[in-house]
Amino acid sequence: MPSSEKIMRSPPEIKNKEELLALKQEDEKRSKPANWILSPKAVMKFIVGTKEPIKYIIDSQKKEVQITRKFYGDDILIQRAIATLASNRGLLLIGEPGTAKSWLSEHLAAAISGDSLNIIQGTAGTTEDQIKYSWNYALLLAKGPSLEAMVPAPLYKGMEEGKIVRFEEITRCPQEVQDTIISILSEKVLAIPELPPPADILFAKPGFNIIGTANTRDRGVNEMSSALKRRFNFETISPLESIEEETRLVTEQTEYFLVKSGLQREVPQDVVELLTTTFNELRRGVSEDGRQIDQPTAVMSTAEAVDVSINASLYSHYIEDTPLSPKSLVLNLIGTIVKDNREDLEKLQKYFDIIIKARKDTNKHWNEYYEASKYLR
Amino acid sequence: MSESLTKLQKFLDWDENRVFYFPVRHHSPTCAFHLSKLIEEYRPEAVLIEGPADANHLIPAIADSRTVPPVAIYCYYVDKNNKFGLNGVLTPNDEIPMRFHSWYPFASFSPEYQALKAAVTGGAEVRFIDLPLEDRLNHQRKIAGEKLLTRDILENSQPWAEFFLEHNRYVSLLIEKTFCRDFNEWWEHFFEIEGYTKSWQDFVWSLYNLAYISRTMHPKDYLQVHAILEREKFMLQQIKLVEELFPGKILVVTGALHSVALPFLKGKKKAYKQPKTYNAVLTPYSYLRLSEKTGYAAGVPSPFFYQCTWQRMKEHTISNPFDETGLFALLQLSRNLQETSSAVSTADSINAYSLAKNLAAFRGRSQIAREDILDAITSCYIKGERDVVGVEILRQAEKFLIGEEIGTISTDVSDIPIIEDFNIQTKKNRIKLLEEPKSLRVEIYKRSSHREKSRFLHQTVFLELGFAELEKGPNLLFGTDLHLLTEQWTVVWDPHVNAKLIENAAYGSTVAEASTNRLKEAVAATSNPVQLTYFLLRSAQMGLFSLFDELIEVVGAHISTNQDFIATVDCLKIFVLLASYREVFVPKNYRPVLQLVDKAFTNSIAKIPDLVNAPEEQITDITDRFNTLSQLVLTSDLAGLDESLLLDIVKRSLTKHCHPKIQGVFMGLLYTFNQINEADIINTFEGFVYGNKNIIKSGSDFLEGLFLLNKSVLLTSSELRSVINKAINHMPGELFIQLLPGLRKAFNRFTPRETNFIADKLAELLGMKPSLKLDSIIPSSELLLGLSELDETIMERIKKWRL
Repeated sequence: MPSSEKIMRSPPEIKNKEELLALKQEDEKRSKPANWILSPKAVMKFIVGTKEPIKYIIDSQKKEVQITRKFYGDDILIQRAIATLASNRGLLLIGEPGTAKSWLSEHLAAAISGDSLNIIQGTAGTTEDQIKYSWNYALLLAKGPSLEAMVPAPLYKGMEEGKIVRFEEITRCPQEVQDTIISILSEKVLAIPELPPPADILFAKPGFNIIGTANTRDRGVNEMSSALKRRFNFETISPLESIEEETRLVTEQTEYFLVKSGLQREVPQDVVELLTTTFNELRRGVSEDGRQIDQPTAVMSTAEAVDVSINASLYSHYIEDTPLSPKSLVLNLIGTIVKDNREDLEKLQKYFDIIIKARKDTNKHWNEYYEASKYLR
Repeated sequence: MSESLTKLQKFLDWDENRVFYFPVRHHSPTCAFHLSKLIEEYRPEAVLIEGPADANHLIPAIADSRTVPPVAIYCYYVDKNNKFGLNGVLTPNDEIPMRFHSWYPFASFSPEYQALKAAVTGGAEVRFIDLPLEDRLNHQRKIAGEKLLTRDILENSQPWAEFFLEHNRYVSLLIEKTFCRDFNEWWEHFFEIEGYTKSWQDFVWSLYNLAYISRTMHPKDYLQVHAILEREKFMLQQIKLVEELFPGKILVVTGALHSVALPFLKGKKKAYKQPKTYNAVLTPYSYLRLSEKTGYAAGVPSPFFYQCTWQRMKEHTISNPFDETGLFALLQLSRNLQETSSAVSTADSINAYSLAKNLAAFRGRSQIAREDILDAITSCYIKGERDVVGVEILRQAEKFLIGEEIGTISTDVSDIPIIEDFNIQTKKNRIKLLEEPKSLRVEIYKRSSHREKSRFLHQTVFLELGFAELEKGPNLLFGTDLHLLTEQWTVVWDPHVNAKLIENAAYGSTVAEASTNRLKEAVAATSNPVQLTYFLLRSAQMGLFSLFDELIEVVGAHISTNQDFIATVDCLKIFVLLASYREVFVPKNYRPVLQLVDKAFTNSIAKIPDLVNAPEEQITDITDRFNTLSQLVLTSDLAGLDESLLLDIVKRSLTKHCHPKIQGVFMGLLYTFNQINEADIINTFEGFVYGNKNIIKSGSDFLEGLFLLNKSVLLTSSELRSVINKAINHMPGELFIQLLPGLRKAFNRFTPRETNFIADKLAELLGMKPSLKLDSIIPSSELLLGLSELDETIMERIKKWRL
């Protein structure tokens, strides 16, 4: 795998290599489910972070690392998710787009199996062989059906190595393709009729499980059969309710991106708060003081807020030569909120005219934010 | 270890001490388990329990085999002479005396109940040793000096309140360090589950430690203000007295907070003189009240879960009572859910149990706790979004774990406070308790005393006492008979009324208190804004004004987030009624009602643009509610109902894409307010009936909507009549047949007189003479009589066939 500097986005097992190592060393005496790299308690720590740094040894040197919080929201949900993954059932993370389902899924896989890349990326065009296995046709013709000619797909690999398989956007696949995994989830056995015995049956190694993710509010998704639903435990991931937490998260993510891009710009948290307050209020349809707001049809998730914050920071940096400004936030809001529905623009204008206007005298940021609403057109 | 804590260790030895102080958390099955074992093993000569000393006469009744928990000792003190200066401060007015009360509830798993039962069975002396309510209040008044006692102080001074144990920095840190959600989860983990397998000495020692450190977290004056020190002084006097009277071993069962202080106190015996009249009675109690739901300060979250666990603990042979209860709860709940059509299979139950066990292990517990069960239900029984499909499942789970049990008592009921209050209220409202039905005429608008009477009668109806029935009167729930100025009631008393009152005793000591608590229970069971609004109305009808104030906030929050036009208008209608009849229903807190009107009106008109895309199956309901909204704006003079705002939004929302019926109601409203003329209506109608075949049918829908809002347009506009007539004339037969049912519905709104008028005008238009005048039809009395009989026969058949 290339080093983390050469790729745009590192997988969590690379990005948090030191944290995982420290947790593993700390974890030696704890019992773990078979083939898990970390114990459930350490997986939990990896996701929700620790207050104190953890000591570890690397190349005979004593070091310590702070375990950062990776997921903001319901910690109890994480406990349930980890317990599910140690059981016989798969884990299905559902929720609105942009609520960090995939983020949580990859971090869980990284902490449990040390590999978040054993992944099926579900689309309308996903086929059964992209899930289970396919063939190298040249070898198949030359040598006939054999393990050598077989190209294992993520499900096969997961079963063979006792690893977590991530099935992203499961409901985007046609129902008959989704149903491929029904019997595998319950029997933990994959039949490969093309191969001669004993290779015709693959028994899943302990540690194998599936983390699925699915959107509940999007176009182009398919229903799940009740048989498949029964084989998953569902966890609903909701958008962050606390503006404070969302502000912290958006600020952190923006800072991370800017550092990655080689830009040493600070991200003013009080300006980010303008954005997260707007997102929070538009998402809930109610302002902080209880006034009803027309909700846009666009998805207003934390992920979108991070995008707006990053784009606005880049705009401020390159065009205005300042740190993130309220004006650049407004300019970048339009592209996120107004997508295929022009009515959303009216809703956004109305929100600024009524709700933001009332706050413009609170401080200079709110004032600048309101003044910039003239660009909403 | 501190010196006191070291000394406490000495008190752990049963053989070395004459008095043994057993600490409890009230309503803890594991405490009850260890305590029962200890009594069985050592058979003390006297058992002293933290219960009111003026309720010692109730001990035989509590121990009676006919008494089935949950029951409670209810202590009360009515401050008729305003000794505490709180009448009119904590009560609605000076004339209503402050009622102080304290509750000592006993569930089957309460350690105090088990100690009492075991001691009585073993022939030991049993006594309550806590300071009686009136004495406690007198002491607190003395401490407070010039200041008045506050509601907070009174609540936190409730004898079994575990505020001191639960709320302190030491416990908060323990909860945080162990990743528990709250004190209940932490307690269940470390004391109920892990404490069950400990020896009773180890268990008591752990609890001593917890209580001792918790106690040091509260300053002495705080303990004094809340009468803790005074109560302990009194307890010690009673212990000393019993020490003199009985030579054998004495077991003192008190809350852990007292158990770590009593051994160190110095004092002398002092006999308590029992009062001439008792202010303490035994009443049935309910698990709902024992849970935290109704604000009981020593409540446990899931009484039924603890009851089931206790039953298993009693069997002694079971080593894992919490696991067994968890499995039972998951299976029983899955069965309940199957009955209500939620698809939960046996495989799901197996999976849920295994997940609960996994979670328990993950959280470091040896058995399943209540939170593990709820988490397993969340993960395994909810097959979809938690906020959509999960709400009902979690509600049922919580209800199941709380339980619906109501206790029974063996004693005579005449001194049960709720019955006493019922008798006082009937007397005060001059209602005679007769076993023959009696009519009462209540002039709710004229006389305030009659309004009080009406409120009381509504409370009795709400509690289903079978005592009063409203025969006639303005019905705000259905919006009917609002013109009536009086209520006509029939009242009849029989012994069943008392039985019903006892059933309600668990909800409160007065009729009003029981009504409040039952209404609170109903409120907690729903999140439907319309239902909550009905409850708001009921609270106003019953004069439960403090609950009314609470509900206003709840309803306000629901209205702010509610997205449904139909529900919002239904709520608005009730708010307007409440605001319009303020003298009767909202004598005090009027402004928040106006704010609700304002909020509901703004929210409902904000939804009007979305009605354009409403699904077909909702159209009839939507047009009905739109009509209601328009009528409210037309008829009410409340400032919040801004007619120009409504018209503005309707004008902007009226497009060709609207459903024809919605177009009809929109245009009907705009025509009423002269915003459009009849030519606009005619153009739209012609657009439908002269359009392609697919939209012709829409013509009748349009008319239906139009006439719903404004019938007069057809009565006044000859041109519209002519256009409709012409359109029907030109219509091919087949199409007319298709249109006919819709047209019938549209014209149904007209009264016979109006239909006659329209027929006359049509005849005129077509150059015909009306053959029959409706006015001229005078049916014979025989015909009317025959028709009336026929009508009655049909009604009887309909009833008989349950049509």
